[in-house]
Amino acid sequence: MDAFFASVEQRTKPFLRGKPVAVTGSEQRTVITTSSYEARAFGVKTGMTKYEAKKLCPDIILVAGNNHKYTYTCSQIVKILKSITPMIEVYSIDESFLDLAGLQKKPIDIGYEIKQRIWEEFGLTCSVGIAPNKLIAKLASNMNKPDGLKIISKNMVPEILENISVNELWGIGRKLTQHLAAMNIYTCGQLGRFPVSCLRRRFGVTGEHLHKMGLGTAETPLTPTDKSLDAKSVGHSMTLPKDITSRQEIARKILLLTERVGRRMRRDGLSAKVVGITIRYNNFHTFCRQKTLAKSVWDTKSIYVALISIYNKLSLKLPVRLVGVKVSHLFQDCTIPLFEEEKKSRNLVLAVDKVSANFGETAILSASSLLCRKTPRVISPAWRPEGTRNYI
Amino acid sequence: MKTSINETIKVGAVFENTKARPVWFVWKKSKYAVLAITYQWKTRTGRETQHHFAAQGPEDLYELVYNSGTLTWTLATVETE
Repeated sequence: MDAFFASVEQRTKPFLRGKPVAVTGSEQRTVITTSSYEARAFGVKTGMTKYEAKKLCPDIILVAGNNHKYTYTCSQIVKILKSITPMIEVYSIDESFLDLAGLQKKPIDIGYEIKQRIWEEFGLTCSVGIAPNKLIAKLASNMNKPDGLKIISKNMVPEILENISVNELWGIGRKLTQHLAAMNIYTCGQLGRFPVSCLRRRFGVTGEHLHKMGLGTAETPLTPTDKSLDAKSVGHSMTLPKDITSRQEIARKILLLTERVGRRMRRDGLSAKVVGITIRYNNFHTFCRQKTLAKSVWDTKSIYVALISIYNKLSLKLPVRLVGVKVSHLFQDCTIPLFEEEKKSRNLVLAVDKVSANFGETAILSASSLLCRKTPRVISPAWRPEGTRNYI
Repeated sequence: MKTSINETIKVGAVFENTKARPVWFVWKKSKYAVLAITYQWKTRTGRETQHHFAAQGPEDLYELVYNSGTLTWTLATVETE
């Protein structure tokens, strides 16, 4: 999708159309999650603070994001894509890969059909890249943004890659670009011609993959969304509306997040052996602490008790900007409680979950999390339109 | 500027082909025509589904919400340029 969140806001609010717009996490927060193409023309980028953006573009209009609107739109777009082929990998909230092999229609016709249906349904534009593999398809989709459609056939790949900078390839970031530059590799053509033995010596197994990337032949299998639903961990984090220092307040946020994590685990019949906390200071320094438990946990209270025991050992040095909770080492829980007390406590937790499922997650809450239930949600990069990851 | 309202209101809507389209609403004794629905999306609270409509009025932009569980319409927000 082209500038997804910003485009949705421009569709919703006609007075934003054609103007430089940046979407932020909430009204109080300062980091830009997406900006419109009109704002990008001034150099505004994702991850900048609103102050940096204002410096570059004084007339920029800041809009607080509405995550429900974006996740709903994504799930409807995925429905459109699934009507074309079930072989779809939802890579992120605004990017998907489709395997068009074996379909009767021509790839170019499918590309235009996708663009037309998304436009008709939402008034949003997207850019389509059609190529022999995911790496080149991603490159192609970025070449004619916005509202583009680019086809790169197998025989065009060497010519197109020859002078393209390595950092334009999906998977080559800033650090790797620097390492390659130190070896006098700047373009994909140079990367493809570089002796694979040298790349292997420098980067290990990745060296071989880099060589294939330079040639445009790196094949990454498409993982259909339906088969990627088994989560390895379940987690939630929240960027707080304002930085906080109160330990009690942070503990309340941990409880709120634990309630969400617990509900998701139980919805999928999971138990966990490892629990962890993530803290981000206001200087963006982030750290995680985790603990392997002697006994697996599945109910909110046990998870929270384990998390608080980690949290109580932490000494916080700066105000906190983000709090996260994660459970991992998951397995399907088939335990049958043997003792009456265990049965009662399990039934109570499951009854509360049923009430939440019927009347919303705020229908029954622990009293202490009531104080922070209006904290705005963030869309995790792991969010997907279905399965365990469908939760914000 | 966006202002939260969250008041139950009276809405005239056309239900057609499994879709709803509000065409007017009454708020604070005034009737407002909906000139266009600029965007729509859904949310869920438990079993209930809320249908959200960004409705362009003669002057401002309104967010109308239809709760299909309680069959009520709410004016959620008013936004001025």
